[in-house]
Amino acid sequence: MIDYTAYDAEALALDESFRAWVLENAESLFWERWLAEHPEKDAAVQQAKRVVWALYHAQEEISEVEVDEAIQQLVQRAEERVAVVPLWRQTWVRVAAAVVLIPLAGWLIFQRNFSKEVTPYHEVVQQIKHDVKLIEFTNTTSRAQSVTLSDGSSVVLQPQTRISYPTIFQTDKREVVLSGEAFFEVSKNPEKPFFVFANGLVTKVLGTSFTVQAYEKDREVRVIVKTGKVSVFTREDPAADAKQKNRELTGLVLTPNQQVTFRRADSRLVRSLVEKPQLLALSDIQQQSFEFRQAPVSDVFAVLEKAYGVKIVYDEELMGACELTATLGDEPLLEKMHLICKVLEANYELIDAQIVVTGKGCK
Amino acid sequence: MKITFLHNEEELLWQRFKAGDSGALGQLSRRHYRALFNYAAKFTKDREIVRDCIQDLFLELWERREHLTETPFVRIYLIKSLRNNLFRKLRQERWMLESEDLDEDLPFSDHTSAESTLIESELFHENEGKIKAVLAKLPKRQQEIIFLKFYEGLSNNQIAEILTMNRQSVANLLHRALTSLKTNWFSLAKMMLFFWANVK
Repeated sequence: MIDYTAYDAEALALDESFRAWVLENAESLFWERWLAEHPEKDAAVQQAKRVVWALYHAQEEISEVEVDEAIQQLVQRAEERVAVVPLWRQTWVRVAAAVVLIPLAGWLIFQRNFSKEVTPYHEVVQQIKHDVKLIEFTNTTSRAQSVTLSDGSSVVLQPQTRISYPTIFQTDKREVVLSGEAFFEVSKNPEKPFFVFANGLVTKVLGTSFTVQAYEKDREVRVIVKTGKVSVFTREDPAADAKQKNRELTGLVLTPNQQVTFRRADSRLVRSLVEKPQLLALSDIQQQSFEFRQAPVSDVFAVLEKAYGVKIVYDEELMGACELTATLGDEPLLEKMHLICKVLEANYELIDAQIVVTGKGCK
Repeated sequence: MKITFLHNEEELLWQRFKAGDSGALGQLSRRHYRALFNYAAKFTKDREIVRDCIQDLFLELWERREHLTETPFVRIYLIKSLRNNLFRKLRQERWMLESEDLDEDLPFSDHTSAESTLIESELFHENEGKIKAVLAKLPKRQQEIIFLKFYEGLSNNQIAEILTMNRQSVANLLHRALTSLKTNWFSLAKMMLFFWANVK
């Protein structure tokens, strides 16, 4: 380990580890402890920090919007360079294509206009209602809200999103119906596959986390996988029934950071990588695992409250002093609470959509 | 766990790029775009030229993708190529003086000093402008090294590679740059202290 006590502000500013600390908050444990042990270096550290910070930020020349535009243009140019197919320049090919395409277009328009206009959401809800009692929940607020299902799985709903789910799941499967956008953390249970029905698309999972975007007004449905595997197929798929019953994941199988887009007009499924995951509104829970190092419990709860849109009630005076070191991944919310409470030797209860934590606190 | 996962993702992205997936090109170039732009913008006021140069750089890689064996999406490689392309282009456009030695004559950022007096009401921008002004007083070479060190976070070895000079000279120039910053330090530090207090 380098002996930093001999370093002045300039030497510190030039040190890689020091810069990483200032700019990326990396190795903060080391530097914070070092600073605590060497209070006489405080002035030098503060000055070096300012230098690093200022010299970094003085270099910015371009806005996020400009970067977006530039990338879009780049991709477009690249596509143009691929798309040159000389064959299409020949007239007879165009004529032949038109002969095929015009009737096809007519047929498609006919199909669209005359197919029944029942929304897929209600249609599926009616079907499932025969077998099991459903609860409907709609997020009418402007923030994300979460729902915990009877098997412990959690669903974080975006505003204007509706979900129907059974009070108690059936013995052999878990089925929910979605309209809008939600992030799912499904508790693992291979015996009871979990299905999300959304705008004609069925997503089947055994235990994993993923997002479904299926607004009724949108022409596309998207499923984005964070962890584990899910399989996706359309409701019109002739083999849909078999795919639902199969214990294995069949159909189009998605793995982390992949997404599928379902074009409702022509029932086409397209698989791709997640282009810009950071743009998703739910980025917090989707992107990070929650890492806490000796974090005050109040911080931990604040993070969870924000990510899941829930309220966590606890005695701040009693438990405020508790510290937590933990890495939480894609477990459902209640499982996360379970882990935290185990460490704190506390208990939690779900009361009226609030999580109430009780414990004897820490000293 | 995390590392293997990232590695796989990287690998997958690279495979997609080679297979002609333009989305992969978008993702790969996005990672470096901002840094490359900030770098190139130090040499010319003409943002159009900077944009064109970066676009050409990536399109060139796109067209050569089938012949590439290793990924060229590495910061050092990209900076070096962009530097060459940019200098070539600037020479073509006659933005430069008629000198053989490029490095001595390329203007490195002197366009930020006056801009930031009137418009910005916010403290942040005002101070950023002042820092830029202090930086702009340094010789161009030193400004470039400061950029590569403090913005790109490169090691002296890597900087030496980009600028084709030896490591010791980089270290010397870096030291000299910081020393001359220090002579302006009194005003700069006072200003930044003020800024710091306001941020907190």
